[in-house]
Amino acid sequence: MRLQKIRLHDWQSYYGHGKNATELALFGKNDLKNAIVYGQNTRGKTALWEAIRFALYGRVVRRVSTSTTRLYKPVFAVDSAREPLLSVAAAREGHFAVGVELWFDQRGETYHLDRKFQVRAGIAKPKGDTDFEMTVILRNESTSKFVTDPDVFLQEHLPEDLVPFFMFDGERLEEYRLLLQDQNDVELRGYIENILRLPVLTHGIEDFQDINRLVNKRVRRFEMELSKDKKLLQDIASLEAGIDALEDVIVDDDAKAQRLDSQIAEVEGWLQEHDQGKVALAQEEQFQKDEERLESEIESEEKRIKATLPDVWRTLLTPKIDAAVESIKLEIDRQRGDQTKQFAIRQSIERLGRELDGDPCGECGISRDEIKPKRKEEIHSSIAAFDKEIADLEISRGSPDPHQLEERLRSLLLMRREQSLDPLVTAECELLKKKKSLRDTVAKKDKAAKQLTAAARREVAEKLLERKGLEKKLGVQQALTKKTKDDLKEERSKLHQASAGLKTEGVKSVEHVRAEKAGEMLTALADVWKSSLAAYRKVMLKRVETAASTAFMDCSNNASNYSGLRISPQFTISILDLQGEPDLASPGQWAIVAYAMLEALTDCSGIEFPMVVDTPGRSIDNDHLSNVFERFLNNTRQVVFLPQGSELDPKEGDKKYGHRCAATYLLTKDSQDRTKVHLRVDNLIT
Amino acid sequence: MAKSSHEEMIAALRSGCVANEVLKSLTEDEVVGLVEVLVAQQFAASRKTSQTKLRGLVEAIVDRLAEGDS
Repeated sequence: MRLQKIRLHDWQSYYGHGKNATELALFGKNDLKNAIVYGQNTRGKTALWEAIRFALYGRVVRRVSTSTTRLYKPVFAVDSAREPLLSVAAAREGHFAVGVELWFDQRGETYHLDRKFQVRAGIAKPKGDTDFEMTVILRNESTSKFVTDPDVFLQEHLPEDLVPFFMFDGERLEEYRLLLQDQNDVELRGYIENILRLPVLTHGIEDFQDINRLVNKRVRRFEMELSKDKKLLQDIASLEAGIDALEDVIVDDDAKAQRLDSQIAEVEGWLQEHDQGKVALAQEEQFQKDEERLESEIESEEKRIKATLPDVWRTLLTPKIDAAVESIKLEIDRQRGDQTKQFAIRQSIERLGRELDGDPCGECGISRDEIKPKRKEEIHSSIAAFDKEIADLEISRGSPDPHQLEERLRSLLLMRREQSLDPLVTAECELLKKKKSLRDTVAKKDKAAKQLTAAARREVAEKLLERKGLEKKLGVQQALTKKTKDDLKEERSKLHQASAGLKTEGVKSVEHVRAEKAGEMLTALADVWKSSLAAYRKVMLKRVETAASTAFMDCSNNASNYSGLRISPQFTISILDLQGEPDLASPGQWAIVAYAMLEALTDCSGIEFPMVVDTPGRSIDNDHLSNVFERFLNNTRQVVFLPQGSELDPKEGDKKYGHRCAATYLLTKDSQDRTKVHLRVDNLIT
Repeated sequence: MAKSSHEEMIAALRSGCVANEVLKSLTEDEVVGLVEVLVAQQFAASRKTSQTKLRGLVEAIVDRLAEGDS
C-alpha cells in the first residue's frame, strides 16, 4: 500500500471542508513517494498522523500515561481541551461533520477511502459522540467498483494491531526500546509473531487437528457399522456421548466467556465515554489511598519522635555542658601550668643548692670561689621562698583533684556526644514534609471530588465495580473451561484406545475410504505444519536479525565498536560488541535498535505499508537522526516524516532530502489557531 | 523489499508436503490454497468460517485424489 493523497475535512486544527478542505499530496513524478512535513509543536503534525490512522480504522487513540489503558479521542467536544476530532471552530459555526479521505494504491490499483463522522439525522445540535454516526466508503478507482466491506479489506491488508510497527511516534520510541529489552513482554512477542505470520502455522496445526477429529468420528461411524463387538460398540457410544456432552459444555462456556467479554467491553466503552469521570474518580481513590498512607506514616513518625523525646532533656543542658567543659579544660591547663612552674622552681632550688655546696658550675665546670656569708644568706632566703611557692603550687595543682577533673571532662564530652539532636531534627523535618504532603493530598482529593457530582461518582464507581466483578467471573469461567478441556482430552484419549480395538468385517464403502484418506491427509498436514513451524521461526528470526543488524550498523555512530545485533528465540535483542558479547550500550544506541527492529520486522513481514513517523528525533541525538533520515529516505518503502524544527530545519531538510521526496510541507498556525499547510519542495505530478 | 514471509512459508510447507508420502501428490495450488485460508484467518473475526473453508479444501483434495485412484 502506498499513500497518494490525504484530504482533511474540519479535522482537529485543520479547519475547512468541501472545496476548502486541506489536502496534502504524497506521491510524485519519477516514482518519488516520500514526504516530509515540517512543523513546530502544536502546528498539526500529530493531527495529520492521526488522520491516517482514523481513515484506516475509524478511531484515534488518545495518549495516556498507562500504556495498557486505551482511550480514544472524542468526535465532538465544545472545547479543545478534550482534543475532539471535529474542529472546535467548525462546530461553533454549526458544521457537524468531520472526515478524512485517503487515496492509496494497492497492488497496482488505486483506492479512494472516505471515512467521516456526521451528526445523526434529526439532531440539530449534537451534545456528544452518541449523536454522531460513522460512514466509510472504499472504492477501487481502477475498476470503479466499491469494496463491500471496507473495514475487513483494510484489516486484511494491515491489521490494526500491527499499525504501531508502521506508524509510530518518536516520542514513544523509548517505549519500543523498553519493550524490545523486556524478556517477559508476552504482548509484544505476540505482535512480533503476528507480523511474521507465525500464527498461520500454529493455527494451522490446531485447525487440522480439529477437522481431523470430525473426520475420525465419521470413520468411526463406518467402522462401527462393520463391527459386531457389541460391548465395545456400547463403550464407544457411551464415550462419544460423554465427549459430545463435554464439547457442548465447552461451547456453552465459550459463549458465556464471550458474553462476559462483551459485557466487559461494553462497560469499558461506557467508562471511555465517561473517562473524565473515571479519571476523576480514579484520582480521588488514589488521593484517598495516599491520604491514608500519609496518615499512617505520620502516626509512626510521631511515635518514633515521642520515643526519642525522653532523651531530649539532655539537649537543654548543651550550653551548660559546653561551659563546664571549657572551665574544666582551663582548670586542667592551669594545673598543668602549676606543675611546669614547680618543675622550674625545683631546678632553681637545685642550682642554688649546688652553689651553696661549692660544686663546680653546672654549665662551665669551673670550681667556684668560696661563697660569702651574705650570699649564703641570700641563697637560703631564696630557697625558703621557692619552697613556699612550691608548697602553694602543690596545693593549687591538687585542687580540685586532677583525677576527678579528667573524669568529669570525659563524662561531659560523652554526654555532649550522646545528646546530639541530629536524628530528632531529621525526624521533625520528615514529619513536617509528610504533614505538608497530607495537606496537599487532601486538597487535591477535595478538588477531584468537586469535579464529580455525587450521582456521577456513584455511577462511575458502580461501573468500575461492575467491571471488576465481570473480570472476576471471566477468570472463574476460564478456569472452569480449562478443567473441562482437560477432561475432554482424557476422554478423547480413551475413545482413541477403544476405537483402535474395533475389528471390521465386510467391504468398506467409498465414503468410508474417502473419510480414512481425509484423516490420513489431515494428520500428515498437521505434521508438516508442525515441522515447518520450527524451521520457519528459525529462518524468520535469522532474517529479522540480519536486516536489523544491517539497519543498526548503518545508523549507529558507534558502529565500529559493534558487530551487530542478536535476537533470541523470545525476540529479545542484544547489541553485540566486537567479540560478539552483549554490550550494555547507551539509550541512544537502543533507540537506534528500536528503529532497526521496526524496519526489519516491517520488511520481513511482507506487508506493504509506508512508515509514517511523528517527531522522529524525539529520543535520539542529531547525528543518529541524520543517519536515520538517510537510511529511511533511501529505502524502497514509502516514508512520511513529520519532524519538528529542532529535529530537521526545513531549509536544510529540503536541501539534503528534497530530491528524494514527492513533496515537503511546512505547517503553521494562523491568528485563529488554525493549521495552514505550505508546499515547499514540489515534485508532485501536475 | 525482502522476500515475503508468505512466500517463504509456502516454500517450507511445499517442501514438507513433497517429503511426506501421503501429501506428495498435493499440487502447488493446493498448498497455496491451504496457506491462503490460514493467512486470511490470522486476523479474521471468525475462526469457524475459515475452518469450514479449510475443511472444504481438504475434502476437495481428497475427492481429486479419489478420482485419480479410480
